[in-house]
Amino acid sequence: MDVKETLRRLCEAAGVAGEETGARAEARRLLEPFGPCEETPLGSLLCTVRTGSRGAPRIMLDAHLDEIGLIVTAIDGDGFIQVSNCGGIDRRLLPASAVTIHGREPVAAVVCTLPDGLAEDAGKKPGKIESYTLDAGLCAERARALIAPGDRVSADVPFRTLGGNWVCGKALDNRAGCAAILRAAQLLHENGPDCTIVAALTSMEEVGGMGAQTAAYQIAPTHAFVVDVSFGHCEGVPRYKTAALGSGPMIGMAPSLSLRMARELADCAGKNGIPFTFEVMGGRTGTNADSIAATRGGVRTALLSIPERNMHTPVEVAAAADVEAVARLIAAYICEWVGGAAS
Amino acid sequence: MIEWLKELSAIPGVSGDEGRVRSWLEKQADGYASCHTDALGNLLVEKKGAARPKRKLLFCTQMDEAGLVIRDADEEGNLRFECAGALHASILAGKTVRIGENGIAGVVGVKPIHLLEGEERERYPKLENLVIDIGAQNREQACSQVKPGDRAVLEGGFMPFGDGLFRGRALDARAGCALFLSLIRDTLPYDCTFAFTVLGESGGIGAQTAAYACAPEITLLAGVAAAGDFPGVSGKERACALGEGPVVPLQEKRVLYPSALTGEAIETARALDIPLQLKESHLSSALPGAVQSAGIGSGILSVLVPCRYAHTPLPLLDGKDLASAVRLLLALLERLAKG
Repeated sequence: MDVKETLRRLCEAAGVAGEETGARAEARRLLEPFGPCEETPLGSLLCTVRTGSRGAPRIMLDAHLDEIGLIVTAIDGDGFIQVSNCGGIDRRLLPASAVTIHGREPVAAVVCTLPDGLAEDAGKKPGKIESYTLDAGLCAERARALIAPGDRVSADVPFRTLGGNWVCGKALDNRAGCAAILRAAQLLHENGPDCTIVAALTSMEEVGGMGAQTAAYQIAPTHAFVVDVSFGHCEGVPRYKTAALGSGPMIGMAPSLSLRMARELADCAGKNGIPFTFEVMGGRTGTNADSIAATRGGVRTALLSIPERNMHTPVEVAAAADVEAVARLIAAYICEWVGGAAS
Repeated sequence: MIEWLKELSAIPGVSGDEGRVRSWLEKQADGYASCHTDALGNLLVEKKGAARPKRKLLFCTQMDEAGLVIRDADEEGNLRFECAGALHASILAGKTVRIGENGIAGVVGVKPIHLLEGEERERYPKLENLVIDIGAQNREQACSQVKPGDRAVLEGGFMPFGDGLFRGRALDARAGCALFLSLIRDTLPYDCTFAFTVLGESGGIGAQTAAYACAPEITLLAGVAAAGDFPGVSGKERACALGEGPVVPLQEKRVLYPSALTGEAIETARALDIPLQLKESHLSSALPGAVQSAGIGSGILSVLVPCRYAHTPLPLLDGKDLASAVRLLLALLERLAKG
């Protein structure tokens, strides 16, 4: 499995929160070789990669499948399309951006912009989301035939590589995590200890995390590994809050995460020559780990993050090597720890 | 014409770096007219018509587009840049770019929303907070691919769009090139000169020197007018609408068009039943002013195509307006050259 190609396929698929259909179909094609797949009522995709004996650990590998985007709220009398946000859209980036409306068929559209009116001296500030409109170049009648309220809208930016090692596209948050889980599923499907492993690509993280919460309930895991993206080095942000792209998994430490798993993961990374950094958080992690840890009677949970630049923009950037490193670390840790002496 | 728009949209040609647009135009005009390039890089095309004109006509438009100029790379491998021409920093964050001769892929990065504090969230990003990321990890890696002074353009692929519209980067700058090419490929009643000029986004210096060299009696300019026919725009900024015909401005910022010539345009359009919008153009192109006062001065008249989202990578034009603009220009050529 070529990680860059997997990332391209996953990022180019559409899967705005609550309507992850396109991304789920693409992910299912990629996951099916590693075990039986099923879809949960809320749209998460589960793949049972290994089935262990009675009493063996039950391990959930989670990454959220959804991406941020917009939702169509109305079409006006001239065919212009009103929207609201699905997840934490950065309104500052909406002017003059290209989008795809996932209507009856994909419709190319532009965010209406009077650029000269945005100039600093014009005093224009990013308005409320309701003040942004989409233009598909269609009259009202044609627009209504193709587009309906509730349709999701995603950024229209082709996937690309930057400088050979980095990849760039919309929805790398969190298709990068999905690609890592896919790769870990492949490694563990080929070779793994006696345990049950369920890969869960979960819906609606960007709007509350209901997908992971309900998937964890269904899987009833003893342990969980959550993979998401976190902040890569970025202009104007203190270094201690970020990690360099290419520096390997960021091993999460936070009150709700298993400190023991975090330390063992670090040891395991060291032993296997996998680079890593720690990401220490004071409160909630802001990822699916928060809800998964609190599922049923409690789940020991680890969080591995992939450093990403330009998070929640149409041009998110990550290093393909970090995706591979996360997958290798999860697989190595599960093999050594379930197959070896640890709990 | 669609094929021309597609190709013109694909060519990078920021102010001062118009070479590729010029060669493309030269190739298209080959066999239909004679071309030469002047000292600044303007392409001057002499087209033979059926007769010598009574009044010497110059057709003038620009080849260059607004874009970015790379300053330097920092220790992290990020590129710092400046805007060249009518591009506002407020629309750059989150866009993809191509840099230099080799079209190196880059993106304009910005601090993620999660890490913004208070005021920052409610302000469009400023130029000094933006960097271009080309996947370089340090200055050395960046400088092996990109040099200071390299131009960068925003991406925005050409496509037929919605009901009879076209979308494509740089079409706001180069619509005039496509209109003039239609005339050059046609059989014309009178000799005339077409100037495809450089530095239109930098004060219209190319247009000024071309007008000086040609010393026309009348200069016909072509370009686009900013349409404001979409939600959130009101009053004067609505200006003109797509699909309602070419715009003939009566005045622009610091430019007054002679009423004798705008009157000719109105009569010509009426006679041929060509829809016309008589509006002030808010794009304030530098070309009309530069041409009007070049040398001993000449009469000027602009025929503009309405364009939504000019000065962004996603300008929209209506095919109907382009066709009407060509008809109007042809009719004006005949009428004005006759004297």
